[in-house]
Amino acid sequence: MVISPNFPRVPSDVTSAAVSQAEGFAIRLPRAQLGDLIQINCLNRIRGAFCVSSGAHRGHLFFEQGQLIHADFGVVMGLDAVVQMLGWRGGSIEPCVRPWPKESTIDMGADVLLLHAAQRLDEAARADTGPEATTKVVRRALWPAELLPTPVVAENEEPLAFEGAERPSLASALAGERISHLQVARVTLDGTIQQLKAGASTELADTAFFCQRMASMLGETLGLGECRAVSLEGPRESIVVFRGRSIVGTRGKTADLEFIRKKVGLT
Amino acid sequence: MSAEPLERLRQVSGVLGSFTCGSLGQLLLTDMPEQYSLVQLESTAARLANLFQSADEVLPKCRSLTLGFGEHQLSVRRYRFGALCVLTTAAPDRHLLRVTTRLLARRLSALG
Repeated sequence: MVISPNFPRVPSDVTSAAVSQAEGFAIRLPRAQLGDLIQINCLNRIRGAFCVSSGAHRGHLFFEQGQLIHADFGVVMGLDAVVQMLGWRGGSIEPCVRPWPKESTIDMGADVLLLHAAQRLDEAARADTGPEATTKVVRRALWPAELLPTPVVAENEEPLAFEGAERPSLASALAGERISHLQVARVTLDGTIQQLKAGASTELADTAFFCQRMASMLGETLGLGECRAVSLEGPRESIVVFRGRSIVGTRGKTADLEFIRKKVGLT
Repeated sequence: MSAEPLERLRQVSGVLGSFTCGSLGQLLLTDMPEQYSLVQLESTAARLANLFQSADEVLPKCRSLTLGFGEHQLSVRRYRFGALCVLTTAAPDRHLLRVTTRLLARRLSALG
């Protein structure tokens, strides 16, 4: 995958990352992944639009204030569009000029976003796996139409407002907004609750913070270093806590959390 | 009680040591590498009890904890006698560890 230029810091009043005069280097990273770009842009609080191409496919990502705020791939928006793009095996990523979305279709940080996306990709891969265990299945990217959910809103509801000619329907916007059934609580390293998703409680946020800190103290006592992840397991429900730039607590059915446990190296 | 039952765990690839603690966080048995002092392990046992106590408040019937560190993992599982804590590398022989842990738990439960 090719990434260029080197995502320079752009003033907040600039509506595109396509600023050829900006400081920074154009780089080519043949083995870079889209997930890397998302993390780098969020980490550096880049504001800008990026065009992601792979063969005939083309999608767009919009970053602002340390978050990926919008993604589109044809009529697919939000997280679904990101999942589609993460499923592409190669291509290019370049800054581009695009009308800036008036509303965001993604409301989560890079860590949580990539976890959600990884779960979707795992589920899609599992769904594509046939009964023959010996058949090797290459991940198949779903067509946009396959990702659209059954409309759950009244037909006379207004679609979300976006600048430009392409105005996505509310159904497709909701497809992007559709989130996992896992509760997610994000807490800063000083214990401030940043985000509660999917019915997550402040209790989950506090527990995540407490467990991460207590486990890290324990690790330091034993000379094992800081704790990177904790899993609290019950017969039906579990909680997995992991630390990135913030502390993230996820709660759900024990089986549903298995993919997170794998991602954070607990299985 | 002798720590001899715990020695069996060390035969499992990736296991560095183990210890048991009571429900109130008191250290019971230890078969940990010498580098870990009793004071360190007692502090660890108390913190694990603290973690379980916190978990109980939000997660009904929390039965096990797994803590991931850089290159190590501490797995803790509750039993009737208390909790069995196993320190491993990041990639132990999980299948053998699971079965050995189960066998050991039976024995420890029988010993009271």
